[in-house]
Amino acid sequence: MKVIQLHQNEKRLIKKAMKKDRKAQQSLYETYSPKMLSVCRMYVKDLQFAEDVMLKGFMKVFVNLSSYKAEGSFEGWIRRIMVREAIDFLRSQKKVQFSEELENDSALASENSFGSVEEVDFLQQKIDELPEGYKAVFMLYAVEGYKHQEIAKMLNISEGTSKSQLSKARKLLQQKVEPHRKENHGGR
Amino acid sequence: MAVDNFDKKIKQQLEARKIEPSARAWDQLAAELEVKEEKSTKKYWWLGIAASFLGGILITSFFFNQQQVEPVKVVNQNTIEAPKNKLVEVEAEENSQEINNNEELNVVEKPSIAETENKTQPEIEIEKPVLASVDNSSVETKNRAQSKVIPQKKEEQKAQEIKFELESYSSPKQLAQTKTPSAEEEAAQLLDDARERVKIRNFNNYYNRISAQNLLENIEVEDKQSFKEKVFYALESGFHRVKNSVIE
Repeated sequence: MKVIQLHQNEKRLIKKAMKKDRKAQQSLYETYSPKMLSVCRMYVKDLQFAEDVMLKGFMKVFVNLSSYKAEGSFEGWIRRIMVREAIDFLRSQKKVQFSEELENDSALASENSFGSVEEVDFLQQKIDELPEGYKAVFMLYAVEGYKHQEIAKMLNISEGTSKSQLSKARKLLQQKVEPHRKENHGGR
Repeated sequence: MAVDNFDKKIKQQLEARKIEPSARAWDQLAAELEVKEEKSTKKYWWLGIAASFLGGILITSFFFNQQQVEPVKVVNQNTIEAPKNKLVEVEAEENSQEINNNEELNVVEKPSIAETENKTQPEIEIEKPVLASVDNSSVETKNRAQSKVIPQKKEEQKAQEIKFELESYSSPKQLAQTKTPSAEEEAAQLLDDARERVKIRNFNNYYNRISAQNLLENIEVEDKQSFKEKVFYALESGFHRVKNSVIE
């Protein structure tokens, strides 16, 4: 019952926000902004830049709210907008590079990957250490659930490149994270 | 399987995370939204102005087209209404001449009423004023005497002019353009009645202004004058004959 009520409230808020009701827009923002800032932070290293990306994303959400069809979840729709906005930001910064040489550099970086306090913060730190090309493909595939075909379109690369970048990113991240986890679990 | 588990763990950890944005973030977003909405409303405002301008042009052109057609209707209305105005003018002129024919004027004022009444009623109304007018005129003629001969001629001329005007306005051709066949017959009857009334009124006016007694008095005066003149001329001619014969 509570879930249905929340869904109806969300629909009302969306309708009001479509009519440029500032309070409704604010309540939608307050509901989804923490999650969406987390999404933006996955792709953008600096929190301030991530927040700017999130605000741009919300701007697009409220301007194009009339194009939202209540077929999928509203959160999923906002999330997709945020991801695209984050990738556009990375492109504008020319940080998305796909090369084989970067693998060795990141491997060197993984040597200094232990000692973080919170597990998620540690994970984020290790993700941030990944090259931008690896990180984007891994996050789009593993976290957002996109297929290689879609990732290839989004990043203007071939499907093969997307697959190879994913496998390399996964390997590198495992190398960075797994020893830390084993230490934590062994300690308990 | 190990790969999938690794991906799932990372996904779960990252999706569960929430990062609170800074306090000024919403204010910044709200300000940007207001700017965006103002721009969009300005666009719609200009579109509205352009649409209203085009609408105004269309409406004015439509009215101008209508006005070009309307004058034909106005002409027809004037041709029909003109006789009524003329009748009123005739009445006004007659009132200004201080003729005590109130009952006769009533006959003229009633053509609209006569449309519904029987034809015999107006005739009775007309006959009464003749007798009344003779009585009234007999009193007036004693005071006015001979000085009325010249005004009577002017009144006769005016009466004839009015008669011609009425006949010209009451031509059936003018009415045939606007009325249906049944209405034409009624109109023709009414016009005939009106003509008869005007003729009778003019006839009554003529004799009312002259009157029998007035004429008799005039004739007597003229006869008296002629007799005196005859005597005078006879004496004068006799005097000249005597004078000539004496000279000869």
